[in-house]
Amino acid sequence: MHLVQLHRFLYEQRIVAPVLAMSFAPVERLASWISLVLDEEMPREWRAHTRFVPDPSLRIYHAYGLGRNSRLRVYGPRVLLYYALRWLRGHGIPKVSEDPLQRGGDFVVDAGGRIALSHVGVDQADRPPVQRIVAALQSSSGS
Amino acid sequence: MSKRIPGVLRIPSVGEPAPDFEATDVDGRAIVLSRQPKPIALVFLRHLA
Repeated sequence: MHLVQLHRFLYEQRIVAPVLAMSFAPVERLASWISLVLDEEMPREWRAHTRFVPDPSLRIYHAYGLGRNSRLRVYGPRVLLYYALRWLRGHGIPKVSEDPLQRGGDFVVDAGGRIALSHVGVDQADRPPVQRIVAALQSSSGS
Repeated sequence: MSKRIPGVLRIPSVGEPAPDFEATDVDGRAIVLSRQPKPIALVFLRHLA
């Protein structure tokens, strides 16, 4: 999971950086997911500087240009490969409660309040390498 | 150059001011992006699995 990879990297590299993790799930669903799923995959100490923000109205998603993807991209080869590998590892296919077509993305805001990294994937499996996010965080601290 | 989604939405590009927002986090605490310590990473999750 991208969010876990990012936090593992920050923790292992001893990099203190605030993170806002946005979800378009309702607050109750997000809180449940954090306690039932995320707590299993990520120690809480990894996310001491992270806050989770429910945005079920998609107001913040839309402010950052994140609308819905096309079905062709959502269920493209990379996504199908991801689910195939998940299934082979015995994790099964996750049940989806929220809109599977809604896009996600990664941004870094620099010290001056400007965008230092902007990444919206071409499909649902496309996330920037965590090293790229961390590099943007580190290079923009004095902006 | 900014990428535009036909119709409405626009993805902010590197160097542009980050769209500010107010929200309430999952613990009920208020968040205003412009008042958060920076640099800061914003991770917009897709559906929860």
